[in-house]
Amino acid sequence: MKKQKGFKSKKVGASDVALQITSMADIFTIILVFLLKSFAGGTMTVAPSEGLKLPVAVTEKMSPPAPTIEISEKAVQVENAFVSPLVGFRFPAGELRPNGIPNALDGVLDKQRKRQELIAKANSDVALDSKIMILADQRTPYGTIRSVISTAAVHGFTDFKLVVVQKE
Amino acid sequence: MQVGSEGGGQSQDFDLNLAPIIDCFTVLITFMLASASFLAIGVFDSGVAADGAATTDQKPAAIRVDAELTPRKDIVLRVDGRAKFTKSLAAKDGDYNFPALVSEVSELRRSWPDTKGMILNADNEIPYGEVVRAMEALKTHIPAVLLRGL
Repeated sequence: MKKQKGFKSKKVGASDVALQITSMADIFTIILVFLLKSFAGGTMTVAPSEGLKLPVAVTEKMSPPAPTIEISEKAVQVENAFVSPLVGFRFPAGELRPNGIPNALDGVLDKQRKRQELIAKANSDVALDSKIMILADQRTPYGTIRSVISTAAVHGFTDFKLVVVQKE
Repeated sequence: MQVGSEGGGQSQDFDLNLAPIIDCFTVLITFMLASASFLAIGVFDSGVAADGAATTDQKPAAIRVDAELTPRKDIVLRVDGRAKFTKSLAAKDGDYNFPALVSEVSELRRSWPDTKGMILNADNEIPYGEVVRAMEALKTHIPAVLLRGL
């Protein structure tokens, strides 16, 4: 209390100026509400990992809420959880089955699908969703992409949303 | 903060102490700005076609169109069904000739209007960025571009 007295002007014309903290609170409230709305609106839900160079393209479509598969130089992640290592954007020897399906990714997507099926079974309002977002580095060889999308398709995720950075 | 009056402490007038609220707001806003991603994100819709078969239950179109990006920057266009031919679109200025591909696809759609989609394939070593460029070029000329799976 004693400290605040220092901010208050005691005399008209004195050099001390009272800090208008109420207006600052108003501004902060507006910024906070805007940021919270942006998060809730889903416009900021896609957060690529550091070092991931998404392709740049012109498209107007926005990303819907869906599970994400991220393919970077060193790893494949599903819903931001590490799934499988990559060596220079490629699956290491032994990770791919003879049919080209990666072992670890197959297991994780199988779990993801079973979870969706359980939720859909328990709640009739929830339908199984075939959408899946693919965040892949633009340098990824198509062979790796092919393995990933084929694995996703095997588990019912056939509606791919290929995430790109909007061209300016 | 001034709680109570200067007189006897009986008055209900008081000033709300805004400083801790501002502190909380500052921390929250800083946290949200730090965790926010300001990339303008968009998506391309696609599906997968395994072994050349589209994943739709619709009646097959009169023709099936396949385009393949090769490491030599050529685009091999294959048409199957009621029209059958294969055409190689040579590289232009060391890059894929996407305008030629778009032109061919547009021409095919004019001749076969029930063609609603095509299959895009690429060599295993072609960067994903090139595939996205092809999709970007084709998106306004054909409703669906499926990616070739395993």
